[in-house]
Amino acid sequence: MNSLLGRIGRNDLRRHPVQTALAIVGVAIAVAVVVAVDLANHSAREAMQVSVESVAGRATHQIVGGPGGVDEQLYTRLRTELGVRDAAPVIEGGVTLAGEGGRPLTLLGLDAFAEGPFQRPLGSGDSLGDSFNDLLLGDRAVALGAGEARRLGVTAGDSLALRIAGRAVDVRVVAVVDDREDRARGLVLADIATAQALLRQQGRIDRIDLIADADTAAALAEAVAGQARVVPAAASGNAVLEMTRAFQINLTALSLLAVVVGAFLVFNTLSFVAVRRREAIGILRAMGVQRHEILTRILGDALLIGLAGTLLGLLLGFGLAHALVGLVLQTVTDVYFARAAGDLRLSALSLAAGVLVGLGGALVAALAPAREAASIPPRAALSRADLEDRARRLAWQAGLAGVLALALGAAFIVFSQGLIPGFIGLFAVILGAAFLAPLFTRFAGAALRPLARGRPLGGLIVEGAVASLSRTGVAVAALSVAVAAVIGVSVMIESFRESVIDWLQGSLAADYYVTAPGPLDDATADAIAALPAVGWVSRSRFHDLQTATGPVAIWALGLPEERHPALELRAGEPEAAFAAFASERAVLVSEPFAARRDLAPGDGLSLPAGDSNVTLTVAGVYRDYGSPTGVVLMRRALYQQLFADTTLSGIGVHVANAAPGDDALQARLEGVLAGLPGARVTDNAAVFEQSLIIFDRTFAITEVLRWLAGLVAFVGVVSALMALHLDRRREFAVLRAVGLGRGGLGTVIGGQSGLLGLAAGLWAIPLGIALAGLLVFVINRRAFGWTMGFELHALPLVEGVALAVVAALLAAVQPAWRAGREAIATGLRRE
Amino acid sequence: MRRMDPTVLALAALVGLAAGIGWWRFGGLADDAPADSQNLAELMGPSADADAFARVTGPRPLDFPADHGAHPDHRTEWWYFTGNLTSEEGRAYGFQLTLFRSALAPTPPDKDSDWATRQAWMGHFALTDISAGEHRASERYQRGALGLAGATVQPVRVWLDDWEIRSEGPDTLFPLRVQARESEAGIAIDLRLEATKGHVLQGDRGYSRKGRDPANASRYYSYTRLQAAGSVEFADQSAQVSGSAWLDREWSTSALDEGQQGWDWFALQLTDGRDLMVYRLRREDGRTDPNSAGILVDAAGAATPLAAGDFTLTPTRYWRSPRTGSRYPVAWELSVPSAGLRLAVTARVDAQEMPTTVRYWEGAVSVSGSASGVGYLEMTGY
Amino acid sequence: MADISFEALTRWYGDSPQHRVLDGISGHIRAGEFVVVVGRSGSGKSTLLNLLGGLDLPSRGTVRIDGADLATLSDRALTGLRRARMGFVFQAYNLIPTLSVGDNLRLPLSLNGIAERDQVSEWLARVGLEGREAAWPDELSGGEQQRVAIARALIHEPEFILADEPTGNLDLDNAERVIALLDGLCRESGRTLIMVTHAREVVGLADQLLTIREGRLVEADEDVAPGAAASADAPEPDAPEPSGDNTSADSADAQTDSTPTRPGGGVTHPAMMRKGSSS
Repeated sequence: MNSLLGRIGRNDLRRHPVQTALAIVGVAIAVAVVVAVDLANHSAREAMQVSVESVAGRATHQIVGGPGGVDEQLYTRLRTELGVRDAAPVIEGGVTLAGEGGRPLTLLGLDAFAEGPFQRPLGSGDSLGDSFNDLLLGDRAVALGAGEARRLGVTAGDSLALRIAGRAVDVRVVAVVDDREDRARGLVLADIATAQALLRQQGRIDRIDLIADADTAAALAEAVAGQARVVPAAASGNAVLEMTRAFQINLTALSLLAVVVGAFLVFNTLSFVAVRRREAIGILRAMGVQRHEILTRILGDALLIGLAGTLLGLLLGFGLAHALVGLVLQTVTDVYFARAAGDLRLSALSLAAGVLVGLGGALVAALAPAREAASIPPRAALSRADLEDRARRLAWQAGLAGVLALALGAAFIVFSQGLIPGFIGLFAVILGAAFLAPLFTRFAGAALRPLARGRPLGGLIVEGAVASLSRTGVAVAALSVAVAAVIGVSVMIESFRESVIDWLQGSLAADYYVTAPGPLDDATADAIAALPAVGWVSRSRFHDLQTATGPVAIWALGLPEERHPALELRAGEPEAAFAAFASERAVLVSEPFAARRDLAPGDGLSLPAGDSNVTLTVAGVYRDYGSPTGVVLMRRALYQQLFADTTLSGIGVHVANAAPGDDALQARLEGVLAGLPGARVTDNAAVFEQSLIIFDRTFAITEVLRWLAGLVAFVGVVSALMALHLDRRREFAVLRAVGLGRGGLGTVIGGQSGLLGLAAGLWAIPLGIALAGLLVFVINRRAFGWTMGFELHALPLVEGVALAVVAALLAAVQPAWRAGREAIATGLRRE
Repeated sequence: MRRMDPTVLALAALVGLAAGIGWWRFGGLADDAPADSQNLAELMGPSADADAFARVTGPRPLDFPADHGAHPDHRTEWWYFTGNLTSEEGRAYGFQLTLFRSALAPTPPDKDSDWATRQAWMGHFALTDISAGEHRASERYQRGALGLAGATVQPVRVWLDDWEIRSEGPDTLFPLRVQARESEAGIAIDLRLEATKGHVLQGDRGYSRKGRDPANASRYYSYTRLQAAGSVEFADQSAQVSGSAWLDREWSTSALDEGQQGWDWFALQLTDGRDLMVYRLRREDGRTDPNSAGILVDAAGAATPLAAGDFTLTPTRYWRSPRTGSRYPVAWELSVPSAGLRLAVTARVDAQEMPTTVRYWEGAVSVSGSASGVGYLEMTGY
Repeated sequence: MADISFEALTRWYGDSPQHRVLDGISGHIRAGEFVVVVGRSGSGKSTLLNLLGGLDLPSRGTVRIDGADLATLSDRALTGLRRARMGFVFQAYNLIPTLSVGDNLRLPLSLNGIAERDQVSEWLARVGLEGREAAWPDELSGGEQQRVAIARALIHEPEFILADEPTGNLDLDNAERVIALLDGLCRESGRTLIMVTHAREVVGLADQLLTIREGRLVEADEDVAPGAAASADAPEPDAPEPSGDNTSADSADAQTDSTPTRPGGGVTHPAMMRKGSSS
């Protein structure tokens, strides 16, 4: 019995292949976006996890020191005096491939004698086998994982050209180790002696990895107190993972936007199905088919569409994920400086999410139309006028729901703190505005009516668009949501970019920046300061301080007496803050740092220094987009006091007397740096440019998602409006019978469509602006701690409206063409 | 009436395709094969670059205390302690502590780092609780750099991590403090050794030939009767112990000939004050190699070398190792007619095979027959 | 087989009880009767049919089938009743357009769980459409569609057939054929047939005639001349007499007034000489 009723539905879907296909495609795209983003996020997380693990192995704790690392004799003491067995020394240094755009690699120096328990991918004697001796004894001998060797195009026995701290060094690959999961990606393994010699770190190692339980770790911490500290091994890796979480939540939220639009699509299609089958359902009800049987049939059809769309979407999503994963990992590497390189990894959860979205979304979206269909009385006793009455009432109900949703969303945002409640509030606002869209369309129509007076065509257009609100309401809502998303994200990115430019212009105070892969020293800075045409220099040292909760980025800045840092303070009175910075045990912290640790001016910040902790006062919070992990800025004298580190990471050169672009000066600077391999002089315009390039690259993925959401919207509106027009063939036939020519009919259809598109586009503007505002002031703030300005330009708004109108006009093409060609009588026969 | 709906067919095909892709993506992961144990004899045999190392080619006078220390240009070297101890309560223990040095290259590496070295050290520490019949052992590796492992003289100190032997005085080897601990295995010793007799030179004034090639030889001396006193820990028990110990010192580059399978080495301390050491080199075909030798030291310390023909060894009982499947003779008949010795040498505990990377049996034995005593037996190449 | 009785049936829509489509109609239909409902367009006859068939519920009054008031039934029960005991033929759009002719016929069988043997081909033959099982509704002419609709209304052997203007869209020949078919098939099996129609020719076949004007039952015209029957502007039979004395003006009152006629008796019409009709 079911099969016959089911056949009605399936035949019906097959008879309207374009609409059915469009609904399937809409679901497919939504599923694809969700799956792709989830897979990309998952792969990125796994890749970072692997990166962390491949370097940390099974280590539970690490013994770390200050900027100078750990004295190697401490390891001997651990072994011979304290009898510690599960300890392994580690030297880790950044090197690059020689040649243009040298890819960064990590030179990892390990002691194979100690590596056994740590199970690092390249570490132990087991994996090295016969090359063990070569690695230990050979001059500049290194080993690579099979994947990395392939990437570099070398095999055992080849030599590899690297640059280490600016020097050109050729190393010899003595072993290529089987590395199935590519866990040794980006690693160059050497015996610890080789690494120490190559990195010129005599007497020092970077850390000692430990496998120990909590008690042993505590005992060791006491034993090494004064010389070094014991921190949890995962601290640094976990810290990075934690921070990229916010970034990944943003991506997921964007992908869910696509789902919202996809769900609207299914809803829309099934509403049309219910309308289309009104008479048939009336007959079936007359013949004695029960209400619930009608309901399940509609749901069954929804399930079919959902299933087809989901399967297609899973395949599409898998393909899309390949593209996205590269973008996500690039962003993570750029922004978080994490060594995250990897491939796409499948996750059952991601695919399950896709299935849930596709099937679940289809079913949920189908509920209301299914109930509507089930409530159609036998023999369709209701007239079309009644239907429209109902729709009007529904529009008011929806409007009420919309206002409620808006209020709820606002409440969520105002009264909550976290990122996820922020997103919930955002979605509530979007849904609220979507529910209000049909009402807006009515009002727009009412407003336009006076304009159309006296113009018959105009009247037809306006009435036609507004009168069939039962069908157009949902289409307008869906389209406005998607266009609003497109607008909102554009405005947010624009605002962010402007803020970054402002910030760069403000903070790039020096005329030239001197950097080197190896450390610089005061002598070089003095030599530069002594050059004619140089007004003064700033001296900077960057150091990642290892703490129990992860690394803290410290920026030590040395300036001449009367100068203070070129920063924009967001909290703390500038005069007082800079004064404290210059003379007291006070620091300035960047916004992300303050947000993460909940710090305000006057709070204390505890940092490990030497053999104890010091408490520094937070004098102010400044704006900094350079690092989402946050920075602690202190004056260099204080830094040297606390950490006994006199090296420099960078020197800022300020030209005297605002002399015009002086090539001679650049040449002279380079002369001073001649002895330092790899040292570079960059003018601040180049730094500016480079920073923006990285920014744009970071938002590449957001752009991609924005356009995907737009695509779903496009497909959605074409589908909805086409169905609308195709449904009114009789109406159009009557018009033509009455005397409206083909051109006139095309104008009417196109005009109605365009009007609806315009309504959606216009409604999307305030929604899009509100969205952008939420993204700028709520989401970004909560995710990263950044504040930024709000820049509203006309272009994104115009783009959005244009998208809506173009989609709507496109949707009118086929129906208009068809209505024009069809014999009038045929059209009249339809009802 | 039940014709296959084309829509259903298409959906089934899509599902099948998706499942197929999923299947193909998930490959199985094979386990790594475990590493095999190695035969000690294989390590000791000739190898390609043996010529580059220093070789023992003839007798040379030994120079102490320098020769108590390391000989870095020779490939292999060890400090080899064994002993039988008894606690105040009458429990019997056997111990073995060996520190091996292995030179991985003929010349030192040219690297600007204190970690650079060509010396690899290995330590074996074993303790047998004879009364309980239980044997525990531990193995360690370390590089000979940065003070992590090595040997120095004045005072003599040889160590690997926290396993250490150290002479109390700057010029003499004994009294010697021997300390080793392995928490994971639950064993530790802390002994003070004193020499009751002087050292004896093995072979021809310390030149101990092992094969037809004169360069297949080692420099070899021993302290055959040491007094030991101190403490041991085994499982949760600790005890004050005393007893006798034996130190073998040997260094070489390649000691074994081609065709030599392994050896059986006996170090016996008899109650009449004599010490007897014999070793039998076994050929692959089972015959005794004519380079087998021994030494008999009387109570005063005078040593008489023994040649292969001066003693006979006959295994009388075998034990099969459950771990490796090797069959070791754990009871022997040893006769040295010229010394009037007809001895039965029996392992005090059968299961004293070393669970180390290098496979061999090393354990405390008791002596009975025409004389009685205790000793240690080492068997390789099974 | 059950009787249908109805009492004081009143129906209005929305909030306008003053505009009544039906106003206090009462009547009784015996099992097996052929009842014809006539009246002008907009007189409320379709509404009466809907009420009798359980397709709609009255604003006031009752419809009873076998004594059970339809209004007391749940929607489920009402639907079940229609499924098993009724067959409907409408003026247009009878068939499900996305099912073939054969499947359309199968529908009542499968809904009622009746095993299909050869009813489909049998009924197609009976309505003169053998071999058209695989055709689609939009491939058939209007008359053919109606004939399929009739077969579908009868295939599950319901007690009641309710036909609303089944010949409204048909030409004269087809109309004749359809009515003859309906009448004959119903008489064969003793089913109750209630037909709403414009055509006065049918009146002669009916066992009971219900005339509705402006929502009320009125007396039928005694003389129904051929040709004049189609006129909806026939003078009302009970025009009130213009008099001042208390002559009861009865036209406005609802009256139970059915004019019984005999099958084959009363008015005949050459067009009623049909082929293949049972006596």
